[in-house]
Amino acid sequence: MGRLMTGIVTSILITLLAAFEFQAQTPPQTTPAKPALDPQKLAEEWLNRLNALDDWHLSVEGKEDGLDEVVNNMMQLYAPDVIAEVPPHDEDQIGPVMLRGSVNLRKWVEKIARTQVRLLYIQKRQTVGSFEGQKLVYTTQLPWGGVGLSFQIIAAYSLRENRRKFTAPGMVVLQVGVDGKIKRLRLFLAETAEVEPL
Amino acid sequence: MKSKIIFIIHLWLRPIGLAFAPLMLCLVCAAAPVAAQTTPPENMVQIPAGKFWLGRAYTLYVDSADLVPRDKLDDRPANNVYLDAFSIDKYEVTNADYAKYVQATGAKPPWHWPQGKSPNGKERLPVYNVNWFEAAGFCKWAGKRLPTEAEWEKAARGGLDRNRYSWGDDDIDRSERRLGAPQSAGRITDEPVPAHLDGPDAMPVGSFKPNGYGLYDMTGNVREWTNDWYDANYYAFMPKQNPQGPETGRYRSVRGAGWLDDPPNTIGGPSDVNTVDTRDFSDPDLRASTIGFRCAK
Repeated sequence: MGRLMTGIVTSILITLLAAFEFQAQTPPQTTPAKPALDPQKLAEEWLNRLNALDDWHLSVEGKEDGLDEVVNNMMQLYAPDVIAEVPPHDEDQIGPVMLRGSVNLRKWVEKIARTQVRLLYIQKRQTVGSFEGQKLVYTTQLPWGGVGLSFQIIAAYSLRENRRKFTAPGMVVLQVGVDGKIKRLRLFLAETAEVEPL
Repeated sequence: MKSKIIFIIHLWLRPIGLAFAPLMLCLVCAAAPVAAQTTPPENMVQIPAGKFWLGRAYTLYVDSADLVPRDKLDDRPANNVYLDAFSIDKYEVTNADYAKYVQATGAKPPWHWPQGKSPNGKERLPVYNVNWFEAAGFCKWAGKRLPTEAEWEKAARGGLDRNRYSWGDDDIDRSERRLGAPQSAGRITDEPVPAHLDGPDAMPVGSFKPNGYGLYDMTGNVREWTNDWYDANYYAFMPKQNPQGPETGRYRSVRGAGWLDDPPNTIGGPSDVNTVDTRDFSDPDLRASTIGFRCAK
């Protein structure tokens, strides 16, 4: 009887051991890895969608054809709780404009779309020695997850109402969450100057 | 013959008179507002129509800190805003004023009044512990209204341009910090504070120098209810002509500094609530011992 019990216990132990070993050897279930953020691609995407904001027209009936599409396209880059700091809209404002949340950021994007045309925000290149112009995007891993990136720009735009043209050097600073959406935006434009027609 | 001539002259002049009648009427109409502008109601000051910079037009060191959702950034950007002429109370509404209202309407007295009566010897102190609805009710009873946030700020600036304080850009004497209860940011004055008033309460209205418009205690004594709903984002897209505040909200805008606030011990520091552009807000139901009001018209 004792031997029988010892045999049963031994076989149970062997079975459990075998099962454990099998489980240990099974490769862990893997989820498809998220594509890593391409900072240069995001910078280009941000600039392209900004420059496309004047790509709509007023229909004969006065309808804003295509406005929502270009605005939606830009807003897709942002998280709902985005916080942005952007330059003043016009000469009747002083200081940075704080935009809290995508609802307020959307108002700013719509304002650009409605008031500016010939948008040409370009990434500034840098040359050193014999190197040809390089588009630089400075990046860092954020302690709270995600990536921070910044790049220099030159902005040019005209006012829709009178076609007065302006240009300004500037800088874009972004914080991108782990989901790839922009959570913080700082757009600096310095020394905005009117371009006199030749 | 004579009467005939007079009759003919009369016939000649009558159409001329009729033609000039509308002109005369226009002149009278035009003169009326001018007269109104120069004679504001008693104890009120007329603030002239025109543009001014609403909000903070200068940089603080806290601006260089990382982005924060609210804090001191709700007063930016500054906006060049036009306001029609309006009148505003020279003083904050006092206990004595409010007692008349309570007596006339049966309104609820502030809870801190003993037996529902204005505290003895404190009739000239600004009334507080009144919520937004009670403040608005008082103004309506007085034939007035609460000022908009923009009106309040224009009045507080006293005609100065983009200044920090109601009196300009000068800091308050730091020695004031030794005082236990800095009743008012209006302490920038060469007049000594009466010793018996240096206690843990507000000061009688008009204890300190008025600002350039002749308004007292705009950034001191008690904070003041305004008519506007509060929205931290409002300045980003606000109308540039007679802004009335957001259409709705959860809190009402409160402006100015109160007797429990610190004096501006660090210019531009986070604790500096005495600047004319500093915005604050409160639940409209809240009754606080640092919030009073004044009316506009």
